[in-house]
Amino acid sequence: MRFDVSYFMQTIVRFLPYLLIVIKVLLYSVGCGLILGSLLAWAKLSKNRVLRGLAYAYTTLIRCTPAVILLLLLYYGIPLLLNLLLGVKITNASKELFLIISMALFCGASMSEALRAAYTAISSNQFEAAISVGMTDFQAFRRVLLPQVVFVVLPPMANIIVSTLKEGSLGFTIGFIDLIGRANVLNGNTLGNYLLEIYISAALFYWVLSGTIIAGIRSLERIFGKHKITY
Amino acid sequence: MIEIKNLSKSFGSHHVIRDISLTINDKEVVALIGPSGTGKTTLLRCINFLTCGDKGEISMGGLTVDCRKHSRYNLLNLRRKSAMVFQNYNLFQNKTALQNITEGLIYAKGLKKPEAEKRACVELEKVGLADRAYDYPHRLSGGQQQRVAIARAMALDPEVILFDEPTSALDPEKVGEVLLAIKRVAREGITMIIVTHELDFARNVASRILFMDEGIILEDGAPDEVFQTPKNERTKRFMQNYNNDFIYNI
Repeated sequence: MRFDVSYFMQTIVRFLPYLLIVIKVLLYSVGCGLILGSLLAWAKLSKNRVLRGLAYAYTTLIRCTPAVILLLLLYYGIPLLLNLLLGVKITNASKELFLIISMALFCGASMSEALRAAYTAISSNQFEAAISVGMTDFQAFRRVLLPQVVFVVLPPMANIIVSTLKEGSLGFTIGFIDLIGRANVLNGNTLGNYLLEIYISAALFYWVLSGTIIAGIRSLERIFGKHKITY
Repeated sequence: MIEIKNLSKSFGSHHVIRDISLTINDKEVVALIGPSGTGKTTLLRCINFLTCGDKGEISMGGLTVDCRKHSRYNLLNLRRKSAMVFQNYNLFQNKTALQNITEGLIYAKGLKKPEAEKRACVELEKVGLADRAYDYPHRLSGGQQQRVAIARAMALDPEVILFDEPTSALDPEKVGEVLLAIKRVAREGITMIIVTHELDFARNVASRILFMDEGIILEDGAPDEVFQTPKNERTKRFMQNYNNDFIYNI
């Protein structure tokens, strides 16, 4: 067994276009997840019992479900269910869409917890001070609370984004061809002879991407944490 | 003028404020004193609705708000007529000293940014912190933070400034500088209500003293009156402790 450097380089080049697919799935999942997570966090912090209960139930259910199972259930289950209930036949469901949906559902659950925790970490005194100078509730939230929440939520957010990126690689289980899907195909075609070259170069993409995300969030922390930096 | 009419507030079965009615005239400096846990802070917070009374009315600068039915709009307007200085300063942690002051001016008063900054600088100068304008609160000492909070309240040019135990969180050395800043506010002729345990200060700066116990105002009068010739038994006992010089035998 030897490590074929030139094949390794070739694979990296071959994988490059698939990086875009990974990034696209990640952006959509995190974007939708952030919206869902904010709504859920808002529900969890609301005074309405039903809303609160539903949000917590959702989070618990999702957090206790393995990502693969959710993905498989959604991809194979929903068309089945639609067929059964409405008689609609979906034959050409977009694999990408289903992957994004299930990743967003996951991402939303974790984000809501991170956001809720961050919000409760900011003292209610800050809100009181803001309305006492005559700001509206929204202004108080926008100008005083939100910037502080963002700063607190950034570190857990980095974790969530990176794990969403990595869980996105499960797309191959429903036959979605992204970086991992392509790697599997390649590995099959070469009968496993270049397994190391293929998967290490795939891993390389994930390392670089995760590293970039982490570094990006670190610099955001510096921007939003101006008020915490001591010289 | 501030008018409180039949204000009551209870937390669960604990009656914190029992049917208080009170009128405070313009330019009066009122010190609200009394034992801990008797509703002084709650009364103060009811005035700008940080705590909503159970029943009663608050009037301020021609606006009357009923505790039981009030619109968001009325609350906002009432709060814009008043300002508050908190026990724990409560400066906006994510804003510099200067921004702490301009924030309210820009968003509540609708001032343009340069105008607001000019105003803020003047107020910072008054509390002796012009050189700390661009520092974030965590870089300031407790006394400095509280002085910024006083400047923030002053800049809003409110009908009344509510002080909620402004010196309780400070060490004795810092208490002096904050009291001095409050005194300066008093000299400008702004109506103030001060909840405090600094009796000497209350006596010195206030034009009127309210003594409160168990949710009722027991004594209401000029400082000398209340401190030297209190009418109520409870007040007498409280003042005795204050007037006594303690002798410790070790």
